[in-house]
Amino acid sequence: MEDAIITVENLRKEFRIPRRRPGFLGTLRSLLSPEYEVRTAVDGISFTIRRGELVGYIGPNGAGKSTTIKILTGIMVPTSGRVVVDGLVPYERRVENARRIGVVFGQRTQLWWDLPTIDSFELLRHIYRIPAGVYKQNLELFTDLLGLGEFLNTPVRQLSLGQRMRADLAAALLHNPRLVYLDEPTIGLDVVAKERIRRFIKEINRERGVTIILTTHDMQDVEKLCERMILIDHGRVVYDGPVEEVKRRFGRHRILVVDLEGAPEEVSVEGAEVIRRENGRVWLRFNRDEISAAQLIHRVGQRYNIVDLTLEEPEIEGIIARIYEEGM
Amino acid sequence: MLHTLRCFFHLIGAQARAQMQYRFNFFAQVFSMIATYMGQFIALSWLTDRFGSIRGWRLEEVILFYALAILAWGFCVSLFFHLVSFEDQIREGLFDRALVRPLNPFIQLLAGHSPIAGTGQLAFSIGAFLWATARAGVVWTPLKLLYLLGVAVGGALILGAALVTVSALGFFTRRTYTFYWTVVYPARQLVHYPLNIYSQVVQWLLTVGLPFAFINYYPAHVLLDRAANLPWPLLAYLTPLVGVVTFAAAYGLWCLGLRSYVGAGS
Repeated sequence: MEDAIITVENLRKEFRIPRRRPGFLGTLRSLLSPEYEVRTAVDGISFTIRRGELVGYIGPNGAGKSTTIKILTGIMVPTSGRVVVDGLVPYERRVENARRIGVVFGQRTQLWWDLPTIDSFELLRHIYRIPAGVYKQNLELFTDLLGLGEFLNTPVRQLSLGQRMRADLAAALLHNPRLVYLDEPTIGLDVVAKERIRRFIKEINRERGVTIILTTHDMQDVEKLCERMILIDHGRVVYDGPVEEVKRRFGRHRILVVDLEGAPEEVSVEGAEVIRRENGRVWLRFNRDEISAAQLIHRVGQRYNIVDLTLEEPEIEGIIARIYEEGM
Repeated sequence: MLHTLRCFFHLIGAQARAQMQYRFNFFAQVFSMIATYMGQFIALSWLTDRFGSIRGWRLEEVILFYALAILAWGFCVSLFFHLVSFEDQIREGLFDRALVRPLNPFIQLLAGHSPIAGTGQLAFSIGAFLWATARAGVVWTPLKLLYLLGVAVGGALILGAALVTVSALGFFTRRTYTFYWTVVYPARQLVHYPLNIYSQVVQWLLTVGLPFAFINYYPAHVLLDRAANLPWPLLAYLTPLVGVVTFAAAYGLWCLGLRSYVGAGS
Protein backbone atom coordinates (compact mmCIF):
# COMPACT_ATOMS: atom_id res chain seq x y z
CA MET A 1 0.00 0.00 0.00
CA GLU A 2 1.33 3.37 -0.99
CA ASP A 3 0.39 5.43 2.01
CA ALA A 4 1.11 2.66 4.51
CA ILE A 5 2.93 3.90 7.62
CA ILE A 6 3.17 0.45 9.21
CA THR A 7 3.63 -2.81 7.37
CA VAL A 8 3.79 -6.03 9.34
CA GLU A 9 4.26 -9.31 7.52
CA ASN A 10 4.25 -12.72 9.09
CA LEU A 11 5.53 -11.48 12.38
CA ARG A 12 6.64 -14.14 14.84
CA LYS A 13 8.14 -13.88 18.27
CA GLU A 14 9.16 -16.86 20.33
CA PHE A 15 10.51 -16.75 23.84
CA ARG A 16 12.80 -19.39 25.24
CA ILE A 17 11.92 -19.97 28.84
CA PRO A 18 14.32 -22.08 30.88
CA ARG A 19 12.55 -25.15 32.20
CA ARG A 20 13.10 -25.80 35.85
CA ARG A 21 13.38 -29.28 37.19
CA PRO A 22 12.15 -29.96 40.69
CA GLY A 23 14.44 -30.67 43.62
CA PHE A 24 18.06 -29.94 44.37
CA LEU A 25 19.45 -32.35 41.77
CA GLY A 26 17.01 -30.91 39.29
CA THR A 27 18.30 -27.42 39.92
CA LEU A 28 21.83 -28.67 39.43
CA ARG A 29 20.93 -30.39 36.17
CA SER A 30 19.12 -27.29 34.96
CA LEU A 31 22.31 -25.32 35.58
CA LEU A 32 24.52 -27.75 33.71
CA SER A 33 22.28 -28.56 30.77
CA PRO A 34 19.52 -26.01 30.59
CA GLU A 35 16.40 -27.07 28.78
CA TYR A 36 14.16 -24.53 27.21
CA GLU A 37 10.51 -24.33 26.58
CA VAL A 38 9.50 -22.31 23.56
CA ARG A 39 6.51 -20.07 24.00
CA THR A 40 5.12 -18.35 20.92
CA ALA A 41 3.82 -14.91 21.80
CA VAL A 42 3.23 -13.68 18.27
CA ASP A 43 2.35 -16.35 15.75
CA GLY A 44 2.40 -14.98 12.22
CA ILE A 45 0.70 -11.59 12.43
CA SER A 46 0.26 -9.43 9.33
CA PHE A 47 -1.44 -6.08 8.90
CA THR A 48 -1.01 -2.71 7.26
CA ILE A 49 -1.84 0.66 8.74
CA ARG A 50 -2.33 3.73 6.60
CA ARG A 51 -1.21 7.23 7.47
CA GLY A 52 -3.74 9.06 9.56
CA GLU A 53 -5.60 5.98 10.73
CA LEU A 54 -6.75 5.50 14.31
CA VAL A 55 -6.70 1.77 14.92
CA GLY A 56 -7.68 -0.19 17.98
CA TYR A 57 -5.28 -3.06 18.66
CA ILE A 58 -7.27 -5.31 20.92
CA GLY A 59 -6.85 -8.65 22.59
CA PRO A 60 -7.03 -10.42 25.94
CA ASN A 61 -4.06 -10.46 28.31
CA GLY A 62 -1.26 -12.58 26.91
CA ALA A 63 -2.61 -12.41 23.35
CA GLY A 64 0.59 -10.82 22.09
CA LYS A 65 -0.46 -7.16 22.13
CA SER A 66 2.45 -5.72 24.05
CA THR A 67 4.93 -7.96 22.27
CA THR A 68 3.76 -6.54 18.94
CA ILE A 69 3.93 -2.98 20.27
CA LYS A 70 7.42 -3.63 21.63
CA ILE A 71 8.57 -4.83 18.21
CA LEU A 72 6.95 -1.87 16.47
CA THR A 73 8.60 0.60 18.85
CA GLY A 74 12.00 -1.06 18.42
CA ILE A 75 12.31 -2.36 21.99
CA MET A 76 12.22 -5.97 20.82
CA VAL A 77 13.63 -7.93 17.91
CA PRO A 78 11.21 -10.45 16.36
CA THR A 79 12.10 -14.08 15.74
CA SER A 80 11.05 -13.75 12.10
CA GLY A 81 8.91 -11.67 9.83
CA ARG A 82 9.12 -8.21 8.39
CA VAL A 83 8.23 -4.90 10.01
CA VAL A 84 8.55 -1.51 8.38
CA VAL A 85 7.50 1.60 10.24
CA ASP A 86 7.61 4.84 8.30
CA GLY A 87 10.28 3.41 6.00
CA LEU A 88 12.46 2.03 8.82
CA VAL A 89 12.90 -1.33 10.43
CA PRO A 90 12.39 -0.14 14.01
CA TYR A 91 14.63 -2.62 15.86
CA GLU A 92 17.49 -2.03 13.43
CA ARG A 93 17.26 1.74 13.67
CA ARG A 94 15.82 2.10 17.12
CA VAL A 95 17.04 5.61 17.88
CA GLU A 96 15.97 7.03 14.55
CA ASN A 97 12.60 5.35 14.88
CA ALA A 98 12.27 6.76 18.41
CA ARG A 99 12.63 10.29 17.09
CA ARG A 100 9.54 9.88 14.92
CA ILE A 101 7.17 8.13 17.26
CA GLY A 102 5.42 8.96 20.50
CA VAL A 103 4.61 6.37 23.14
CA VAL A 104 2.31 6.42 26.15
CA PHE A 105 2.43 3.49 28.53
CA GLY A 106 -0.67 4.12 30.59
CA GLN A 107 0.57 1.95 33.44
CA ARG A 108 3.85 3.75 33.96
CA THR A 109 4.62 7.36 33.43
CA GLN A 110 7.25 8.62 31.03
CA LEU A 111 7.68 11.72 33.14
CA TRP A 112 10.26 12.45 35.79
CA TRP A 113 8.54 11.53 39.00
CA ASP A 114 10.04 14.07 41.38
CA LEU A 115 10.10 17.08 39.08
CA PRO A 116 7.44 19.62 38.22
CA THR A 117 5.56 18.58 35.08
CA ILE A 118 7.00 21.42 33.04
CA ASP A 119 10.55 20.18 33.77
CA SER A 120 9.79 16.85 32.09
CA PHE A 121 8.62 18.73 29.01
CA GLU A 122 11.82 20.78 29.06
CA LEU A 123 13.97 17.64 29.26
CA LEU A 124 12.09 16.08 26.38
CA ARG A 125 12.63 19.27 24.40
CA HIS A 126 16.38 18.66 24.71
CA ILE A 127 16.25 14.93 24.10
CA TYR A 128 14.12 15.24 20.95
CA ARG A 129 15.81 18.47 19.84
CA ILE A 130 12.49 20.21 19.43
CA PRO A 131 12.88 23.62 17.80
CA ALA A 132 11.92 26.44 20.18
CA GLY A 133 9.02 27.61 18.01
CA VAL A 134 7.46 24.15 17.69
CA TYR A 135 7.89 23.51 21.42
CA LYS A 136 6.20 26.75 22.40
CA GLN A 137 3.35 26.28 19.99
CA ASN A 138 2.70 22.67 21.04
CA LEU A 139 2.98 23.44 24.73
CA GLU A 140 0.41 26.21 24.39
CA LEU A 141 -1.94 24.06 22.36
CA PHE A 142 -1.74 21.03 24.68
CA THR A 143 -2.01 23.20 27.79
CA ASP A 144 -5.19 24.57 26.31
CA LEU A 145 -6.69 21.29 25.07
CA LEU A 146 -5.74 19.20 28.08
CA GLY A 147 -5.99 21.85 30.77
CA LEU A 148 -2.41 21.35 31.92
CA GLY A 149 -2.10 24.90 33.26
CA GLU A 150 -3.35 24.03 36.73
CA PHE A 151 -0.56 21.58 37.43
CA LEU A 152 2.42 22.48 35.22
CA ASN A 153 4.43 23.40 38.30
CA THR A 154 3.34 20.47 40.44
CA PRO A 155 5.72 17.51 40.86
CA VAL A 156 4.50 14.55 38.84
CA ARG A 157 4.22 12.31 41.89
CA GLN A 158 1.57 14.65 43.32
CA LEU A 159 -0.64 14.55 40.22
CA SER A 160 -3.90 12.65 40.13
CA LEU A 161 -4.00 9.73 37.71
CA GLY A 162 -6.06 11.72 35.23
CA GLN A 163 -3.69 14.68 35.37
CA ARG A 164 -0.70 12.41 34.97
CA MET A 165 -2.20 10.75 31.93
CA ARG A 166 -2.91 14.11 30.34
CA ALA A 167 0.65 15.20 30.99
CA ASP A 168 1.94 11.91 29.56
CA LEU A 169 -0.11 12.40 26.41
CA ALA A 170 1.26 15.90 25.94
CA ALA A 171 4.80 14.64 26.57
CA ALA A 172 4.44 11.98 23.87
CA LEU A 173 3.31 14.54 21.31
CA LEU A 174 5.62 17.50 21.94
CA HIS A 175 8.03 16.53 19.17
CA ASN A 176 5.30 16.23 16.52
CA PRO A 177 5.52 12.47 16.01
CA ARG A 178 3.82 11.09 12.92
CA LEU A 179 2.84 7.96 14.74
CA VAL A 180 1.76 7.45 18.32
CA TYR A 181 1.32 4.25 20.31
CA LEU A 182 -1.13 4.59 23.16
CA ASP A 183 -1.05 1.63 25.51
CA GLU A 184 -4.06 1.76 27.86
CA PRO A 185 -4.33 5.56 27.96
CA THR A 186 -7.59 5.54 29.93
CA ILE A 187 -6.79 2.80 32.43
CA GLY A 188 -8.08 3.53 35.91
CA LEU A 189 -9.70 6.84 35.01
CA ASP A 190 -13.18 8.03 35.87
CA VAL A 191 -15.75 8.70 33.16
CA VAL A 192 -15.08 12.43 32.91
CA ALA A 193 -11.33 12.01 32.68
CA LYS A 194 -11.72 9.27 30.08
CA GLU A 195 -13.96 11.49 27.99
CA ARG A 196 -11.42 14.28 28.06
CA ILE A 197 -8.60 11.98 26.97
CA ARG A 198 -10.73 10.55 24.17
CA ARG A 199 -11.63 14.01 22.87
CA PHE A 200 -7.96 14.90 22.78
CA ILE A 201 -6.96 11.70 20.98
CA LYS A 202 -9.65 12.27 18.39
CA GLU A 203 -8.60 15.87 17.95
CA ILE A 204 -4.93 15.21 17.29
CA ASN A 205 -5.82 12.38 14.94
CA ARG A 206 -8.19 14.58 12.94
CA GLU A 207 -6.50 17.93 13.07
CA ARG A 208 -2.88 16.86 12.86
CA GLY A 209 -3.23 13.64 10.94
CA VAL A 210 -1.26 11.71 13.55
CA THR A 211 -1.54 7.95 13.06
CA ILE A 212 -2.59 6.32 16.31
CA ILE A 213 -2.36 2.72 17.46
CA LEU A 214 -4.48 2.28 20.54
CA THR A 215 -4.36 -0.75 22.77
CA THR A 216 -6.99 -0.84 25.45
CA HIS A 217 -9.27 -3.07 27.44
CA ASP A 218 -11.96 -0.44 27.43
CA MET A 219 -14.30 -1.18 24.52
CA GLN A 220 -15.83 2.26 24.94
CA ASP A 221 -12.49 3.66 23.82
CA VAL A 222 -12.67 1.54 20.70
CA GLU A 223 -16.29 2.33 19.92
CA LYS A 224 -15.85 6.04 20.42
CA LEU A 225 -12.48 6.47 18.75
CA CYS A 226 -11.67 3.80 16.23
CA GLU A 227 -13.19 3.00 12.90
CA ARG A 228 -11.03 -0.04 12.52
CA MET A 229 -9.93 -2.63 14.98
CA ILE A 230 -7.46 -5.46 14.89
CA LEU A 231 -8.42 -8.18 17.29
CA ILE A 232 -5.75 -10.68 18.22
CA ASP A 233 -5.82 -13.83 20.27
CA HIS A 234 -3.14 -16.44 20.90
CA GLY A 235 -0.69 -14.45 18.82
CA ARG A 236 -2.85 -14.38 15.69
CA VAL A 237 -5.11 -11.83 14.07
CA VAL A 238 -8.68 -13.05 14.51
CA TYR A 239 -10.38 -9.99 13.12
CA ASP A 240 -9.23 -6.95 11.19
CA GLY A 241 -11.84 -4.54 9.92
CA PRO A 242 -14.46 -1.95 10.79
CA VAL A 243 -15.60 -1.84 14.41
CA GLU A 244 -19.25 -1.89 13.31
CA GLU A 245 -18.70 -5.10 11.38
CA VAL A 246 -17.67 -6.91 14.56
CA LYS A 247 -21.13 -6.36 15.94
CA ARG A 248 -22.77 -7.69 12.81
CA ARG A 249 -20.50 -10.68 12.51
CA PHE A 250 -20.20 -11.73 16.09
CA GLY A 251 -23.10 -10.05 17.78
CA ARG A 252 -25.78 -12.56 16.88
CA HIS A 253 -27.32 -12.34 20.28
CA ARG A 254 -29.73 -9.59 21.19
CA ILE A 255 -31.53 -9.05 24.42
CA LEU A 256 -35.21 -8.38 24.92
CA VAL A 257 -36.08 -6.73 28.22
CA VAL A 258 -39.73 -7.08 29.18
CA ASP A 259 -41.74 -5.84 32.18
CA LEU A 260 -44.39 -8.43 32.93
CA GLU A 261 -47.60 -7.77 34.78
CA GLY A 262 -47.91 -9.43 38.17
CA ALA A 263 -44.30 -10.67 38.28
CA PRO A 264 -45.00 -14.33 37.40
CA GLU A 265 -43.14 -16.96 39.45
CA GLU A 266 -41.69 -18.85 36.56
CA VAL A 267 -40.78 -17.34 33.20
CA SER A 268 -39.77 -19.37 30.22
CA VAL A 269 -40.12 -18.69 26.54
CA GLU A 270 -39.22 -21.00 23.72
CA GLY A 271 -36.30 -19.76 21.63
CA ALA A 272 -34.87 -17.43 24.29
CA GLU A 273 -32.89 -17.77 27.46
CA VAL A 274 -33.66 -15.92 30.68
CA ILE A 275 -30.38 -14.40 31.73
CA ARG A 276 -31.60 -12.08 34.48
CA ARG A 277 -34.70 -11.29 36.55
CA GLU A 278 -35.68 -8.44 38.75
CA ASN A 279 -39.23 -8.81 40.02
CA GLY A 280 -41.37 -8.27 36.93
CA ARG A 281 -38.48 -7.32 34.67
CA VAL A 282 -36.95 -10.15 32.66
CA TRP A 283 -33.94 -10.16 30.34
CA LEU A 284 -34.25 -12.62 27.48
CA ARG A 285 -31.32 -13.42 25.24
CA PHE A 286 -32.03 -14.72 21.77
CA ASN A 287 -30.18 -15.52 18.59
CA ARG A 288 -31.37 -13.36 15.77
CA ASP A 289 -30.69 -16.05 13.21
CA GLU A 290 -33.15 -18.36 14.92
CA ILE A 291 -35.93 -16.03 15.88
CA SER A 292 -36.84 -12.46 15.04
CA ALA A 293 -37.59 -9.90 17.70
CA ALA A 294 -41.18 -9.61 16.52
CA GLN A 295 -41.68 -13.37 16.79
CA LEU A 296 -40.25 -13.44 20.26
CA ILE A 297 -42.39 -10.54 21.46
CA HIS A 298 -45.39 -12.32 20.05
CA ARG A 299 -44.52 -15.51 21.90
CA VAL A 300 -44.01 -13.68 25.19
CA GLY A 301 -47.27 -11.82 24.67
CA GLN A 302 -49.17 -15.08 24.27
CA ARG A 303 -48.12 -16.30 27.71
CA TYR A 304 -47.77 -13.15 29.79
CA ASN A 305 -49.06 -9.61 29.90
CA ILE A 306 -46.36 -7.26 28.70
CA VAL A 307 -46.36 -3.86 30.38
CA ASP A 308 -43.30 -2.47 28.69
CA LEU A 309 -40.36 -3.64 26.62
CA THR A 310 -36.99 -2.58 25.21
CA LEU A 311 -34.61 -4.26 22.82
CA GLU A 312 -30.89 -4.14 23.61
CA GLU A 313 -28.42 -4.16 20.75
CA PRO A 314 -25.29 -6.16 21.36
CA GLU A 315 -22.60 -4.11 23.09
CA ILE A 316 -19.17 -4.56 21.65
CA GLU A 317 -17.96 -4.98 25.22
CA GLY A 318 -20.03 -8.13 25.60
CA ILE A 319 -19.04 -9.46 22.19
CA ILE A 320 -15.36 -9.08 22.87
CA ALA A 321 -15.74 -10.58 26.31
CA ARG A 322 -17.38 -13.61 24.75
CA ILE A 323 -14.64 -13.90 22.17
CA TYR A 324 -12.06 -13.77 24.95
CA GLU A 325 -13.84 -16.49 26.86
CA GLU A 326 -14.88 -18.80 24.10
CA GLY A 327 -12.48 -18.02 21.29
CA MET A 328 -13.69 -17.20 17.83
CA MET B 1 27.86 13.15 20.58
CA LEU B 2 27.57 16.76 21.66
CA HIS B 3 23.81 16.34 21.85
CA THR B 4 24.23 13.25 24.03
CA LEU B 5 26.56 15.12 26.36
CA ARG B 6 24.25 18.11 26.58
CA CYS B 7 21.29 15.86 27.37
CA PHE B 8 23.38 14.09 30.01
CA PHE B 9 23.98 17.35 31.84
CA HIS B 10 20.36 18.45 31.51
CA LEU B 11 19.21 15.13 32.95
CA ILE B 12 21.75 15.20 35.77
CA GLY B 13 20.74 18.77 36.57
CA ALA B 14 17.10 17.75 36.72
CA GLN B 15 17.91 14.87 39.06
CA ALA B 16 19.86 17.22 41.29
CA ARG B 17 16.86 19.54 41.52
CA ALA B 18 14.64 16.58 42.32
CA GLN B 19 17.06 15.47 45.03
CA MET B 20 16.93 18.87 46.69
CA GLN B 21 13.31 18.14 47.55
CA TYR B 22 14.51 15.53 49.96
CA ARG B 23 16.99 17.54 51.96
CA PHE B 24 16.46 15.62 55.14
CA ASN B 25 17.27 12.41 53.34
CA PHE B 26 20.47 13.95 52.11
CA PHE B 27 21.67 14.94 55.58
CA ALA B 28 20.64 11.64 57.07
CA GLN B 29 22.74 9.94 54.41
CA VAL B 30 25.79 12.08 55.13
CA PHE B 31 25.56 11.47 58.87
CA SER B 32 25.13 7.72 58.57
CA MET B 33 28.09 7.61 56.23
CA ILE B 34 30.35 9.58 58.51
CA ALA B 35 29.39 7.27 61.36
CA THR B 36 30.23 4.18 59.27
CA TYR B 37 33.60 5.49 58.17
CA MET B 38 34.54 6.71 61.62
CA GLY B 39 33.93 3.21 62.91
CA GLN B 40 36.14 1.66 60.26
CA PHE B 41 38.75 4.32 60.77
CA ILE B 42 38.88 3.84 64.52
CA ALA B 43 39.27 0.07 64.07
CA LEU B 44 42.08 0.68 61.62
CA SER B 45 43.98 3.10 63.80
CA TRP B 46 43.53 0.87 66.84
CA LEU B 47 45.03 -2.04 64.91
CA THR B 48 48.01 -0.07 63.71
CA ASP B 49 48.51 1.51 67.12
CA ARG B 50 48.63 -1.93 68.67
CA PHE B 51 51.08 -3.35 66.21
CA GLY B 52 52.95 -0.15 65.35
CA SER B 53 52.88 -1.02 61.74
CA ILE B 54 51.31 -3.44 59.29
CA ARG B 55 53.85 -5.23 57.13
CA GLY B 56 56.19 -2.26 57.07
CA TRP B 57 53.50 0.37 56.67
CA ARG B 58 53.10 3.03 59.34
CA LEU B 59 49.64 4.08 60.56
CA GLU B 60 49.69 7.27 58.47
CA GLU B 61 50.57 5.29 55.39
CA VAL B 62 47.83 2.76 55.98
CA ILE B 63 45.44 5.68 56.35
CA LEU B 64 46.66 6.90 52.97
CA PHE B 65 45.66 3.56 51.36
CA TYR B 66 42.33 3.87 53.00
CA ALA B 67 41.91 7.50 51.95
CA LEU B 68 42.82 6.82 48.33
CA ALA B 69 40.30 4.00 48.21
CA ILE B 70 37.47 6.11 49.55
CA LEU B 71 38.50 9.03 47.35
CA ALA B 72 37.95 6.88 44.27
CA TRP B 73 34.80 5.46 45.84
CA GLY B 74 33.56 9.02 46.45
CA PHE B 75 33.76 9.87 42.75
CA CYS B 76 32.38 6.48 41.83
CA VAL B 77 29.35 6.75 44.12
CA SER B 78 28.47 10.18 42.73
CA LEU B 79 28.26 8.86 39.21
CA PHE B 80 27.59 5.15 39.32
CA PHE B 81 26.19 3.83 42.57
CA HIS B 82 22.58 3.76 41.38
CA LEU B 83 23.60 1.18 38.76
CA VAL B 84 23.53 -1.44 41.51
CA SER B 85 19.72 -1.32 41.50
CA PHE B 86 19.38 -1.55 37.72
CA GLU B 87 17.81 -4.99 37.88
CA ASP B 88 14.80 -3.39 39.62
CA GLN B 89 14.29 -1.16 36.59
CA ILE B 90 14.44 -4.17 34.32
CA ARG B 91 12.05 -6.17 36.46
CA GLU B 92 9.52 -3.37 36.70
CA GLY B 93 9.75 -2.67 32.97
CA LEU B 94 10.90 0.90 33.59
CA PHE B 95 13.90 0.52 31.36
CA ASP B 96 11.69 0.34 28.26
CA ARG B 97 11.11 4.07 28.63
CA ALA B 98 14.75 4.69 27.83
CA LEU B 99 14.52 2.56 24.71
CA VAL B 100 11.74 4.60 23.11
CA ARG B 101 13.70 7.84 23.42
CA PRO B 102 16.27 9.00 20.88
CA LEU B 103 19.17 9.00 23.31
CA ASN B 104 21.78 6.40 24.22
CA PRO B 105 20.10 4.23 26.89
CA PHE B 106 23.35 3.85 28.83
CA ILE B 107 23.61 7.63 29.12
CA GLN B 108 20.00 7.71 30.26
CA LEU B 109 20.80 5.11 32.89
CA LEU B 110 23.87 7.03 34.10
CA ALA B 111 21.87 10.25 34.20
CA GLY B 112 19.03 8.60 36.05
CA HIS B 113 20.24 9.60 39.45
CA SER B 114 21.28 12.73 41.26
CA PRO B 115 25.03 13.07 41.78
CA ILE B 116 24.21 15.17 44.83
CA ALA B 117 23.39 12.02 46.74
CA GLY B 118 27.08 11.15 46.46
CA THR B 119 28.48 14.57 47.26
CA GLY B 120 28.42 13.91 50.99
CA GLN B 121 30.53 10.85 50.37
CA LEU B 122 32.77 12.80 48.03
CA ALA B 123 33.29 15.70 50.45
CA PHE B 124 34.10 13.28 53.24
CA SER B 125 36.50 11.35 50.97
CA ILE B 126 38.36 14.47 49.96
CA GLY B 127 38.61 15.70 53.55
CA ALA B 128 39.92 12.35 54.77
CA PHE B 129 42.35 12.24 51.91
CA LEU B 130 43.82 15.68 52.58
CA TRP B 131 44.22 14.88 56.24
CA ALA B 132 45.84 11.51 55.52
CA THR B 133 48.32 12.87 52.98
CA ALA B 134 49.31 15.61 55.43
CA ARG B 135 49.91 13.05 58.18
CA ALA B 136 51.69 10.61 55.91
CA GLY B 137 54.07 13.41 54.98
CA VAL B 138 53.38 13.29 51.26
CA VAL B 139 55.49 15.88 49.49
CA TRP B 140 53.35 17.47 46.77
CA THR B 141 54.79 18.49 43.43
CA PRO B 142 52.77 19.64 40.39
CA LEU B 143 53.57 16.33 38.74
CA LYS B 144 52.23 14.38 41.72
CA LEU B 145 49.02 16.43 41.69
CA LEU B 146 48.52 15.61 38.04
CA TYR B 147 49.26 11.98 38.82
CA LEU B 148 46.74 12.07 41.67
CA LEU B 149 44.08 13.36 39.29
CA GLY B 150 44.77 10.45 36.94
CA VAL B 151 44.65 8.00 39.85
CA ALA B 152 41.38 9.39 41.20
CA VAL B 153 39.70 9.27 37.78
CA GLY B 154 41.21 5.88 36.97
CA GLY B 155 40.19 4.48 40.36
CA ALA B 156 36.66 5.81 39.99
CA LEU B 157 36.48 4.17 36.56
CA ILE B 158 37.72 0.83 37.91
CA LEU B 159 35.07 0.86 40.63
CA GLY B 160 32.56 2.22 38.12
CA ALA B 161 33.36 -0.66 35.80
CA ALA B 162 32.49 -3.09 38.59
CA LEU B 163 29.13 -1.38 39.08
CA VAL B 164 28.45 -1.24 35.34
CA THR B 165 29.14 -4.99 35.32
CA VAL B 166 26.62 -5.48 38.14
CA SER B 167 24.03 -3.58 36.10
CA ALA B 168 24.90 -5.45 32.90
CA LEU B 169 24.21 -8.73 34.71
CA GLY B 170 20.75 -7.35 35.41
CA PHE B 171 19.93 -8.03 31.76
CA PHE B 172 20.56 -11.74 32.29
CA THR B 173 19.71 -12.58 35.88
CA ARG B 174 17.79 -11.36 38.92
CA ARG B 175 20.70 -12.05 41.28
CA THR B 176 22.82 -8.98 40.77
CA TYR B 177 22.54 -7.77 44.36
CA THR B 178 24.13 -11.04 45.43
CA PHE B 179 26.98 -10.43 43.00
CA TYR B 180 27.51 -6.96 44.38
CA TRP B 181 27.51 -8.00 48.03
CA THR B 182 29.56 -11.18 47.64
CA VAL B 183 32.15 -10.04 45.12
CA VAL B 184 32.43 -6.30 44.62
CA TYR B 185 31.86 -5.16 48.18
CA PRO B 186 34.32 -7.58 49.86
CA ALA B 187 36.98 -6.80 47.26
CA ARG B 188 36.56 -3.14 48.00
CA GLN B 189 36.98 -3.82 51.72
CA LEU B 190 40.16 -5.85 51.06
CA VAL B 191 42.01 -2.95 49.49
CA HIS B 192 41.45 -0.80 52.54
CA TYR B 193 44.55 -2.57 53.86
CA PRO B 194 47.98 -2.81 52.23
CA LEU B 195 47.94 -5.53 49.61
CA ASN B 196 51.12 -7.20 50.83
CA ILE B 197 49.45 -8.50 53.99
CA TYR B 198 47.50 -10.95 51.78
CA SER B 199 48.57 -14.20 50.13
CA GLN B 200 49.92 -14.19 46.59
CA VAL B 201 46.64 -15.49 45.25
CA VAL B 202 44.66 -12.60 46.68
CA GLN B 203 47.27 -10.13 45.45
CA TRP B 204 46.98 -11.55 41.96
CA LEU B 205 43.20 -11.55 42.06
CA LEU B 206 43.13 -7.90 43.06
CA THR B 207 45.56 -7.03 40.29
CA VAL B 208 44.28 -8.94 37.28
CA GLY B 209 40.89 -10.28 38.36
CA LEU B 210 39.10 -7.42 40.02
CA PRO B 211 41.92 -4.88 39.64
CA PHE B 212 41.11 -2.84 42.72
CA ALA B 213 44.78 -2.78 43.75
CA PHE B 214 45.26 -0.10 41.10
CA ILE B 215 42.87 2.16 42.94
CA ASN B 216 45.17 2.72 45.91
CA TYR B 217 47.88 0.18 46.62
CA TYR B 218 50.13 0.75 43.60
CA PRO B 219 49.51 4.51 43.33
CA ALA B 220 50.26 5.03 47.03
CA HIS B 221 53.80 3.86 46.32
CA VAL B 222 54.29 6.80 43.99
CA LEU B 223 52.81 9.33 46.37
CA LEU B 224 55.13 8.02 49.12
CA ASP B 225 58.12 7.91 46.71
CA ARG B 226 58.40 4.15 47.11
CA ALA B 227 57.56 3.01 43.58
CA ALA B 228 61.02 1.44 43.33
CA ASN B 229 59.99 -1.09 46.02
CA LEU B 230 57.38 -2.65 43.76
CA PRO B 231 58.29 -5.81 41.85
CA TRP B 232 57.22 -3.98 38.67
CA PRO B 233 57.32 -0.22 39.26
CA LEU B 234 55.37 0.27 36.06
CA LEU B 235 52.27 -1.07 37.86
CA ALA B 236 52.07 2.20 39.79
CA TYR B 237 51.45 4.18 36.61
CA LEU B 238 48.83 1.99 35.00
CA THR B 239 45.78 3.13 37.00
CA PRO B 240 44.24 5.49 34.38
CA LEU B 241 44.80 2.92 31.64
CA VAL B 242 43.35 0.07 33.72
CA GLY B 243 40.41 2.34 34.51
CA VAL B 244 39.67 3.12 30.88
CA VAL B 245 40.14 -0.48 29.74
CA THR B 246 37.98 -2.05 32.46
CA PHE B 247 35.28 0.55 32.00
CA ALA B 248 35.23 0.02 28.25
CA ALA B 249 35.03 -3.74 28.78
CA ALA B 250 32.17 -3.32 31.26
CA TYR B 251 30.35 -1.06 28.81
CA GLY B 252 30.86 -3.71 26.13
CA LEU B 253 29.26 -6.28 28.41
CA TRP B 254 26.40 -3.87 29.07
CA CYS B 255 25.79 -3.45 25.32
CA LEU B 256 25.84 -7.22 24.95
CA GLY B 257 23.27 -7.42 27.73
CA LEU B 258 21.11 -4.88 25.96
CA ARG B 259 21.29 -6.91 22.76
CA SER B 260 20.12 -9.98 24.60
CA TYR B 261 17.42 -7.96 26.38
CA VAL B 262 15.84 -6.83 23.11
CA GLY B 263 16.13 -10.42 21.88
CA ALA B 264 18.70 -9.91 19.16
CA GLY B 265 20.66 -13.01 18.28
CA SER B 266 19.19 -15.21 20.98
